[in-house]
Amino acid sequence: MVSITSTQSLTNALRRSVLDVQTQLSKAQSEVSTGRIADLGLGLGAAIQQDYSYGFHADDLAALAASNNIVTARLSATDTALGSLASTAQEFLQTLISAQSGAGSDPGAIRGYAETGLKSLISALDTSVDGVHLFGGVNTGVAPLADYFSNPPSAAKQAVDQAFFSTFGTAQGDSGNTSITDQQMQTFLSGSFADLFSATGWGSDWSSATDETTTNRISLSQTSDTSVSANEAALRQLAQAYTMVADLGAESLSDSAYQQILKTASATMSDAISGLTTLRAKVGVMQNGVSDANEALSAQRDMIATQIGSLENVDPFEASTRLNNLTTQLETSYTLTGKIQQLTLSKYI
Amino acid sequence: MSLTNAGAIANQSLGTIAAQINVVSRNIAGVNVSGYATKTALVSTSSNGAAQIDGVARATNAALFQNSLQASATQAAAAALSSGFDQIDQALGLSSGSATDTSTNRSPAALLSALKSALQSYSASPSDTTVAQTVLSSAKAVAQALNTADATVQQLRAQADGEIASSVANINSILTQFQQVNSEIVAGTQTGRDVTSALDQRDALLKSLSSEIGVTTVTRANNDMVIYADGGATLFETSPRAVTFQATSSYTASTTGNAVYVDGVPVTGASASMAIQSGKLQGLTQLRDVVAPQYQNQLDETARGLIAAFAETDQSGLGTAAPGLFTYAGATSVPGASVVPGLAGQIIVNPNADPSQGGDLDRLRDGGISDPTNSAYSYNTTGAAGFTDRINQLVASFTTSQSFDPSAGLGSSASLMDYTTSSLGWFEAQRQQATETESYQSTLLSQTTDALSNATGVNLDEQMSKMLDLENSYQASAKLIAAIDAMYTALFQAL
Repeated sequence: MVSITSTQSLTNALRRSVLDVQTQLSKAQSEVSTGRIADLGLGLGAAIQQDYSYGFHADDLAALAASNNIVTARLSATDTALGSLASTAQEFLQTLISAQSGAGSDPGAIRGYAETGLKSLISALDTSVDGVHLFGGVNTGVAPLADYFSNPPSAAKQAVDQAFFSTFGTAQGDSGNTSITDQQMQTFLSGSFADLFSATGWGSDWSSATDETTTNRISLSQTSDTSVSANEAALRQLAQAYTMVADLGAESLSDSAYQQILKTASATMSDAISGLTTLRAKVGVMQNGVSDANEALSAQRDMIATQIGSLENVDPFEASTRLNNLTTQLETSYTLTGKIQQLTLSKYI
Repeated sequence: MSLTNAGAIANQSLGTIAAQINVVSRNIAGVNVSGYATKTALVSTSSNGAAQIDGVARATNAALFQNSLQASATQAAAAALSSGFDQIDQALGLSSGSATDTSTNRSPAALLSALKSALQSYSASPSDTTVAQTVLSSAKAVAQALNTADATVQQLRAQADGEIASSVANINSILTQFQQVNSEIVAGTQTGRDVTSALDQRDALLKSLSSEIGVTTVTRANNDMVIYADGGATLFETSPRAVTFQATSSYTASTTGNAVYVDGVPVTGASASMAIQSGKLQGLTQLRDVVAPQYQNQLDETARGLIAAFAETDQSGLGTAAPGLFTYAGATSVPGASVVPGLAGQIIVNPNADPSQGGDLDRLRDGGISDPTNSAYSYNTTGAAGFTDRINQLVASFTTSQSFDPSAGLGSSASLMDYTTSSLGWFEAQRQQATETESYQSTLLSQTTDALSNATGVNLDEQMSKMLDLENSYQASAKLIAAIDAMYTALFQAL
């Protein structure tokens, strides 16, 4: 028996195939133009979870890289500030040493140097980047040190004045201060004066910085300290050395007491300089950590991009071949539809 | 043999041919009617040697017809499910955008990831209110996405419910028509009338019935048909059985839709003893009662996980944890690890952190969002501008494992980020499967329809050539009558 084909299925088959090919064509078109699977949800199914996980991971890495850039900028500003402090300190130490050797330097001039040094120390520690005070610990909203020589006098200056007065009974620069012996001066310098620069004294009179420094997540698994506090010992020592020369009334002291100050200041200064070196090394380690993390981040991002690509991308050659085939198929369908419409017995009778 | 007999035969043949032409023209009229079966006039020789019409036969293929009913039921179920998935996907923008540019994706997972990135930037600049504002607006976007998702899912359920109601109404109206056609067939068969057109009509009704609900049929004596739903419930036997359904107009996460009853027996839902297997009705109830609620559970768990991840603990170690940045109306505590129905619709960003609602942005950094008057929930008591511990803690909480309710179908323990991404994966896997089933069933349906159409449908050319044959026969018969008439004339003239 010859099976017949119903006229309806003959025409419907072509109509359906045209519709089907058109749908596929629009998909193929979008795949050729974007190089990606047309509908990710339908194309990947459950694998979209993997795909988007990679995407979110990449976003996370990008956010880390951006925050690391900010951290890097801050650390490099910190390093510059510390570097300039170190060179000023080094010069001041030279001056102190030559003054001790009695090279005829004027106590007034040295006091001037010290004042400048102290001012530059304060301004370096008050450095801010985008409103963030780098040396503030976590208290980054406030400049950690106030101007020592301000009017009315700063808390730090008042504390020094008070310590001096309670030890010697006179104010700095008083003409009676020539009677202060080097022994008394030494006791003062290592006693109540040094207390002003201990962690406690510094915290109450000088600095509003916190010991706790800012921490940042610098890679997916690493959290690192990313700042230096103005409360570091080396920085306190710097302030101590500058202050003792600048504000104990060097000109009105006896020569021996003055020499005692110079001696103590040089010792404190050289401690401070070596401390600064350690501190700069610490900043270097932080910078290194961040840059290592950044390298790892960029390697991870590359790897993730590859993974995403292998999930989402279509072979452009395959897609455009498919597009061509579909176009041909659609054209054939059109031609056939036309031909079959012509093919009817009723035309011939 | 007489001329009279020959004339009678020729006369009768004209009538027979006219009847055959009638059948052919019916066929030609039905050439583009879906479900029309080719009719054939049954011709036999009568006692006087003439041709006579015994009746009209109809091309049938019972097996193919049953297959096509089944295919259309299964396809309708798959289509209902797949369009539901597509609707959610498009409304929520779940799979828009590529993983290399997740910014165009509006899924809860993508927005959560954006919030995490915003927090990471915030941790680098904790004193920057612009960045804090970004964190806040990202958090709001997450809460809103969950609110929208909740509303969309419930709206979809309400919509499915409405479609179930109209499907049920349709089934009842088809069954009423079916009764009419069926009794006509039974009566016609008993009296030997031509019932082929009624049979076509009945098949067409069955076809539209099967796309609403899967059916099986049994034909009894006199062409009487009995219809059962594919779960076994009787839909039609001599008279239609009532299919009833009470629609629910609005849905929340805790609403359970009503079951569909056939003849008083539930055929959908958990209590169904004769559950239907296919048809649009089954697809819709599947969507309304299984798929959408499960996705809702996952959304609720995401919301709960979010509240838990951002919860603030009492720093003095005395009190319990309290909802922080993410909370819900009337929140008193952080909900435990089990689904809270509708939480995704209620989650909000705590006004205490939102300056536009009288809150303070700095609480994002310092804590104390849960209760600004209770300093025990503050992480940064000095208010230091560079405090990053809490922010870092929040960033870490995205990837810290926490407990989830396994009834949502995504396991009992995962990180918040993984959980939301898994939910996205679950959804797209279901969507892909539904679409593939739908596309497979569509192909199957069109093939079955083609096969059925080839077995029973009309071929126009065949009918045309038959028509030509009939035309010739008609001419011949007419010629014959004319010849016999001429013969009689000759005879009478010769007399």
